[in-house]
Amino acid sequence: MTRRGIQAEPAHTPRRRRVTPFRLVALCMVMLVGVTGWWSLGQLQLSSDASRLRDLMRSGLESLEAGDFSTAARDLVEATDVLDRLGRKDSAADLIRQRGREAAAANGLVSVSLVDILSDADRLQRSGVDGAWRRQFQRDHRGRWIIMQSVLEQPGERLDDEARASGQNRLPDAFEAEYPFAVGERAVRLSGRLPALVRLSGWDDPGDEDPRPVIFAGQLEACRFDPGTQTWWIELSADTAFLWTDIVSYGQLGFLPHAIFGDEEIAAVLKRQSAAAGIAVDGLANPGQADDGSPETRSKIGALVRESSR
Amino acid sequence: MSHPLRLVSALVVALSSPVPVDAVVSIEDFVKDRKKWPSQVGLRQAIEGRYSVTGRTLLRFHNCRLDFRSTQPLPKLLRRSPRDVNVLVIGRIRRDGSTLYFRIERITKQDDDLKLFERRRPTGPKAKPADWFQLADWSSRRGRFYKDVELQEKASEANRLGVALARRRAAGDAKLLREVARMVVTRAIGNRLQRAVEHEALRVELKSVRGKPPALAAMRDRIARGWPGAEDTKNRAERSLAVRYREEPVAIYNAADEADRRRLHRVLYADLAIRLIIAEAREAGTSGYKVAELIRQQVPEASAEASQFERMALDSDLERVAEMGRSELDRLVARLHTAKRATDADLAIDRWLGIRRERLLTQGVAGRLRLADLVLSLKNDRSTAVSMLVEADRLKPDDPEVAERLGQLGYARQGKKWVQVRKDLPAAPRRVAMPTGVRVGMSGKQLMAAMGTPRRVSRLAAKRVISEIWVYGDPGGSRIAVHLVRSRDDGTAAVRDISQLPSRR
Repeated sequence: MTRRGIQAEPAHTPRRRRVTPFRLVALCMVMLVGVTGWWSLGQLQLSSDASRLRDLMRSGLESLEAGDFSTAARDLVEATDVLDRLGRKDSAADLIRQRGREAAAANGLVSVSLVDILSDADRLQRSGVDGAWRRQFQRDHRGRWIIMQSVLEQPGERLDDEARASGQNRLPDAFEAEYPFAVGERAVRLSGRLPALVRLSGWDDPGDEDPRPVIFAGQLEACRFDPGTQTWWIELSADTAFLWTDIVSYGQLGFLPHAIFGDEEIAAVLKRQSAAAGIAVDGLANPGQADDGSPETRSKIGALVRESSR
Repeated sequence: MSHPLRLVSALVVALSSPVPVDAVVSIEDFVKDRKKWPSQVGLRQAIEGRYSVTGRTLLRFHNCRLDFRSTQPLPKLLRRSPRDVNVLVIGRIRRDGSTLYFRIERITKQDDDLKLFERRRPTGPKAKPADWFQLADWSSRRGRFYKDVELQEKASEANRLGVALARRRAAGDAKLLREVARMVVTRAIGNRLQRAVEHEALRVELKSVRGKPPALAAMRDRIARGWPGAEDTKNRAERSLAVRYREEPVAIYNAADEADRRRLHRVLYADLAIRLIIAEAREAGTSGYKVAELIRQQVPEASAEASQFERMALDSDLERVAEMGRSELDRLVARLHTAKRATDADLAIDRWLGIRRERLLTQGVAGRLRLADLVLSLKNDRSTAVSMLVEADRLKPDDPEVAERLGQLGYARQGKKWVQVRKDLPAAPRRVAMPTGVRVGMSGKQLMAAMGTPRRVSRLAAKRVISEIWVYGDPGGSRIAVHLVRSRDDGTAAVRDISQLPSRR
């Protein structure tokens, strides 16, 4: 039946249109409602997280100070996530991010020392089992953190005159370090990239006869043998390495006290590194004061909490 | 020409034609359609092919059972050669009771197939590969029907010429060349030619990806997988072959036999691998030493190229000795010695010391002490070291450190002068002795008491322990590393291993 009366059903019934104005409008409305709901939920979640920020930071910093790296990593990483979502880029937020990184590194440390790792690697490499070491490294050590205090060097080698003339020199933040322990008769070197190095005073000074040690953390990426130079290379993941800045957690890790390095010496190193990392809290380097105990840190975190709870 | 005139001429041509409408059918097609013969009775047809038997009024074609009969005596068919047996007959299929036969109305002698082949050969600039393949198909089909080996060879020749023409037209276009390579397979010309065309396509592609490391890497892997012998480091081409190949890759590859081609695959792979290493190194700003190392690793036979990069890197480093730190200088000197460039190694040390000398001389006693150390450790130059120390003593008389160093060098003060009292002394007095006093299990404090303060300490945190390495000795000479493990629980450190370190390079 149609408006014009009874009509015979055609042999081929035309397909009904899928897109009609009514359906388009309905779809747009559903999408609008969905997006608004999703945005509102996000805002609600953010507001709830922001209200938890103070607790997260306090709990994280206290756990870090107490050496409970697992709790500290959980809380500070969550706090960092909230700060990122709030779009915070001020120095207090940077401090929490730095502490979050430090807590995560301290919590995800490699299970055995590099000497043990290298001994295993060398044994498997000499046994000639293809890929056995690579598989074992991938399984047990890749992605784990190391925290190291060592003198770093620039790779310091360039391609050739042509490359040099065209300005293709080494990467400014690339570094190498001799890991001074021979495996058999094979040397060991460590390589990685540390963006904050370029801001570290004394870095890239060829006249410096007595370079100061650098304290840094990074995730293990590979451990490979170079038969050409008979050297084991330990490579850190690009963009994971960072300078350590907190003396309290450094002590909690077991680095302090030390027979050779006094607390003041380490404090000076960490202060220099804080400046290079853009964590400009003067009280941090003072071993007598905990991070969150220093008036500057307190005031910064206090401001952050006040703002976040508004 | 006017319209009526054109019509008349077309009519004349149509009427004068021996076969009014039907085209000429080859005997093989005629035989193939033999089931249609009963329905074709009375239809005028023109059939061409090779006859096998002729009589006064009877003719038979090769591989055809049908009799071709004429009411008139057939003309004498002259044969200049056994192959000269092609005829064209025009007539109709008729019935003789239940038997079919072909009544010949007209018969004409034709050129033999080889002559026809030559006449049909595509020539001139407008000839297309398809024309050759059409001729090849005709000649192949006919060769198979008559079991004519010579004609089948002609088919292969036509295929080859068609492919050659297609290859010439595709020159410089990798995609078209790959199509030609596929054509070689479908035309059954052989793997050799197919490989040669694929190789040409590869060379074209290589030109197009110059300076693009990801594309070069993909090509290198493809060559390793698909070109036999490419990854075999022992599969080395003679120098002359490799040189000729690099000059004219396509021509040399086309002409090479299978064994040489395998060797050329290796040359191709090795050249590409080196090119890739260099391209990646340029992007990353890698050193010439690293490039040399990678070449030695991946292309062991290219030691000359590796040495060339090493030489370039050494020359470049020699230019910037003044900017180097001590550890970098040590490495450079060691590398120069390994490369048997002892004179350059001395030159590098002199330049480096020359720059530092000026600065250290302005630093009083401490600077002279440091300079004496450097002169001793780098050049083993005792007399310069002594004169530096004597000068330091003059600046600050009775300095205990200066006196100790001079004493180590075998000098003693006699009155106001320093006089040599012992001669047979070790060249570098500050180098460490072998670790006779170190043993596994001793504590950090005991180690300090036995060996003094280490020259360098590296510390690393693992899950439950702090691993420390204390290094004793000079970077340029003998060094020992003592591995201590500190428990995070009680903070006590104990020696776990001792290792002799190689000198810094």
